[in-house]
Amino acid sequence: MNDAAANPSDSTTPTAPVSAQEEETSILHIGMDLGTSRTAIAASNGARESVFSYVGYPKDVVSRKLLGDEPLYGEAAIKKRLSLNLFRPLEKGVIKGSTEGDASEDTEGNAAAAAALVQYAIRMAKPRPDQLIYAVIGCPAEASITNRTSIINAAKQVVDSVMIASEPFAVAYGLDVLTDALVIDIGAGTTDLCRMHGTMPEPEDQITLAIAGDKIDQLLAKLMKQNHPEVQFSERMITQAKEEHATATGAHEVIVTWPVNGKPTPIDITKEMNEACHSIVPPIVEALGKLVASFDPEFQDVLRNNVILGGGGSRIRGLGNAIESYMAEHLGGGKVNTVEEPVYAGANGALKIARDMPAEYWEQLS
Amino acid sequence: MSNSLTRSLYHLMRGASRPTSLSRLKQRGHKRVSILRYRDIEMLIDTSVENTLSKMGIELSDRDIKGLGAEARVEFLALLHERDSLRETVDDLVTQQEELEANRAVLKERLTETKSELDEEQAAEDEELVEFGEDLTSLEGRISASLRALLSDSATPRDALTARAIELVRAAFDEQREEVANRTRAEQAERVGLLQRRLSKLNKKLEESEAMLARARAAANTSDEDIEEFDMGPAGLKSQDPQFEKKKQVLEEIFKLNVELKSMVDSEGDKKPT
Repeated sequence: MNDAAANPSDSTTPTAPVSAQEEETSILHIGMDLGTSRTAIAASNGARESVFSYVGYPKDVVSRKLLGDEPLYGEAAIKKRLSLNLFRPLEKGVIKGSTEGDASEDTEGNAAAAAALVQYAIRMAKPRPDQLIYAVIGCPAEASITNRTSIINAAKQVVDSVMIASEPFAVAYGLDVLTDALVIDIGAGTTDLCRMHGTMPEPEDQITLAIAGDKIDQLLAKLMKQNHPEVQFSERMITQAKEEHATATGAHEVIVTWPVNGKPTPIDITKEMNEACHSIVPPIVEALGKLVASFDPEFQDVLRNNVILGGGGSRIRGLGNAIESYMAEHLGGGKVNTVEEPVYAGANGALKIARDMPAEYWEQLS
Repeated sequence: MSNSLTRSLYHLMRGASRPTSLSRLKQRGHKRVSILRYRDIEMLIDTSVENTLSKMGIELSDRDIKGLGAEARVEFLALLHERDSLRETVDDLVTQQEELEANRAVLKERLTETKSELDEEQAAEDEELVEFGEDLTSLEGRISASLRALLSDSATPRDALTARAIELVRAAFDEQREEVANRTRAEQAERVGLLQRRLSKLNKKLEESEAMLARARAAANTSDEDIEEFDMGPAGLKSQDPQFEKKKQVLEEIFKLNVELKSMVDSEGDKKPT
């Protein structure tokens, strides 16, 4: 029998209420965009960080001597990749090997790397040791149940309570756009489209395309081999060139200095970059068209004129205009607005969901 | 604004901003902070160019106004660059401050050591002279006794001669004693003088170090004291939110979906062999 039961009067003794500030500082809310290319977090303590989604483990004794036993993450892992077993644990927005029937990848290795990446991302928010961590993690709109549970499994080791939300929905929630809008979230692995109509989006409101940043890289590499066979480059150089110069306008000259027979040589890749970046426009507009066409005819016009472009892919210069032009040609017009902070839009939205979520919901899931 | 200018401005602003944590701001008594988006700055630049032209009554073509706007942005970028370099300077000053603090501690330690060395040296001077004087006195006594014994054995003792000899020995000893004492005092004075010069130099260095430290502290503390407020407010959906009902509904649905996911994760865990 406990003391309260032994002395009933004790059970009615009012306890000091936990102040809002105390409660606030005892819980750290985190919004996370666990992306194929980059993982971004936004936390209620003001932390906002991002890291390339790479995890590297020292591959042998020499590497361990040189780099230590701890895994390396992000840019550091990329730089030391020759000494590491390098994992890019996400593909098409989900953990590699977590899709049903996909046994081609090192499933366990990728799951462990994803868990390590989530842990690292949480550490970037610098939680206090005594703080409870409640996290909302964004995942692709059409991620399967298995994909989602694998993300939960990766996260639950380091957070006290975790929820998964559709990435484009998180972007929309972060912008307070819950009605009559179409969100396009262009990542590295997937492009997610989500129709917002005031309630939780249903599966028919969302489309995930496997055409995104990585496809642009692949096409750019293909075009470079085709048009400049003499130029030597790596996948990483292609990605870097895209990160720095991506354009869908054709108006910006893109010159890179890459080796030709070992000699650094300036190469004009304007045409190839433009073609590669523009390649994602038709499938995106086609998917947009599907979501518009299946919406209430009375509101189709509003929807078409309230397209929000987010995700790392939205940093491609002139992409919004290119989509608008293509929409004008094929859907009879439309208006596209690009989010202010493409890298953090998903994480900011996820943080907003985390903070708005009632405390009792978090407790039930912990 | 061209994309490259926008990007430069954005990166510079992010670079120029100083990360801090909510808890740290709270500790410093801040409750709210004002947030300025970089797009607002673009607009402010354009508006200030237009207002200035309007106040000066200058009418220019749109193209010229755009040109001026671009120049103003470039100027703004240059100022941000300057701010960036100033920040680096402040960082350097902080490092310098730390080094100075460490240096000051070393100087203080050295000063204490030197002072005690000086005290010991000064005390030693008198002791040495006293010891030396005692030794000479005892030697003088022994020599006087020997002389007396030697001269008293003589067949024709000459008291006056004996007294004279002893006096001569005593005079010689006194002279020697004085000479040694003077030399010792001079050596002592030289050592003390050296120690005093060292002390004076250390004191001067300490003063300089203190002054530099004060300047470094003042320079390094110029940042962000003017931040008034930073507050995300308490967690939880606000009833006054214009989309309160819609948000409440979608949050509930997200929660339900996650309850289902959790039950799947838990049942997977149960199935796994232990």
